[in-house]
Amino acid sequence: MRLPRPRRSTFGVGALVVAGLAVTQSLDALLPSATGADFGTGAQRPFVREGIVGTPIALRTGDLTVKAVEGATTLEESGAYPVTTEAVFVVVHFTWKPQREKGTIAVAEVAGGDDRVFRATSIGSGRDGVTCPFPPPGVTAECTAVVELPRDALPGASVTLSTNAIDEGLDDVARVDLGVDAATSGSWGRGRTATVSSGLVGLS
Amino acid sequence: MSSDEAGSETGSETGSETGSETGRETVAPSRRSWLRRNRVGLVLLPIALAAALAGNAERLQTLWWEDALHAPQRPDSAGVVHFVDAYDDGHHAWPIRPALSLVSVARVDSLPGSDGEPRPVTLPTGAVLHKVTLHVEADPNMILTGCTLALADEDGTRWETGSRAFEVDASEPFSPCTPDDHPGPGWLPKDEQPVVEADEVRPAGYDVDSYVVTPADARPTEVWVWWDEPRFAALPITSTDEG
Repeated sequence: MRLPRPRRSTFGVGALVVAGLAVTQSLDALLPSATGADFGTGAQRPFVREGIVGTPIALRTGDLTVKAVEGATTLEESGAYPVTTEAVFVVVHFTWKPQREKGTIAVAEVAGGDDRVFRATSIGSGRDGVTCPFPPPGVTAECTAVVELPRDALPGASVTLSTNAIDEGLDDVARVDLGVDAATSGSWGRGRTATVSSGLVGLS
Repeated sequence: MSSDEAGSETGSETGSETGSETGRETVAPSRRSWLRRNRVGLVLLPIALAAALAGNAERLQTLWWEDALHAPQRPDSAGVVHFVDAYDDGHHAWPIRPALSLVSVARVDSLPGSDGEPRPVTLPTGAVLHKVTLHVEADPNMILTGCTLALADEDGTRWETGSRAFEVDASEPFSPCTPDDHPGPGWLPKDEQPVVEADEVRPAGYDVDSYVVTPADARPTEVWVWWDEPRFAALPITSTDEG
């Protein structure tokens, strides 16, 4: 059987299809990711702004500066009993300054070197959680995020901070590497005590 | 594709093998005839596109328009916003139609204590405190609880009351729109009707103060008052207000 000879318009249709695929492909590349469709995953994944300790990270709704990242096995917080762990607390001290409306940082997630993700939110568990006020625009808050995780998740792990606990999809989030490798993960923060504190800069 | 169509295609293909050059010239549609053949479709295409977009537009309403302050109501020549909004949860509905005007916006460093004496305020580093005085006129039976007030600059940056961004040995006013001791009628889901305590009846006209923290370099240009998004009253701050 011989194939029908294509008409000229067939080429036009073909070109349109290819153009459509090309546009879809470039949109796919522009948007965060291509797989999955759940809240905050796949194409609805957040825009990750990588940063380093001490340098402000500009997010869509404000500026975040990670002041220090430390490991600890004991947590102290004013007005609460100290908490200890057999695993390790990742403690992130940061400042947050919203830009246009009041706002806060509500979620901290540590993605381990493996596939596991450890998440803490402003609704704390009594052990880990994010403690951060809601400053007005242009006013800086000091905040602390604590995530408890097993030591074998530490090598290569990074911490991600975001403003929305329900759906961070398509919004900016800040990510900072913990700087822990396989050699240091066994001793990182062992026996140390970290302090959880928060408030507006200038207020007690 | 049906077998008939396939057959006729192949047939014409084999039959016109020798005269294909001339055949294509006579059969090839000119641009004009293509436009003419498809004119109905071409006219309908933008209409179909508009209809498809409109069919998805309810997302604009629920996810964008009603989710932020989009509909300002501005003052008349006397500086009064005759605000028009309504509360409606499908079971209970009432109008929110106060007349709002701005008395003053002034930088302050104290709040009145319970005895009326000023109490000094501690502010965050680089921040200042503004006292906003609003004049409200409304039917005393109208429910006016649950409003929010903010200072806003030209870019739409807004600083709201109730920020808890300062320390003082006094209590911040409860609502920016009703007097603390005479809030008038209120409503809670357990109530059949709005309720008002005898000693909390609201006067028909009154001034009410509220306090807003901004950075020292903020340049607010308007006072915004709202109950439910997207509607809000936008009251311009005249240059003499900020000392």
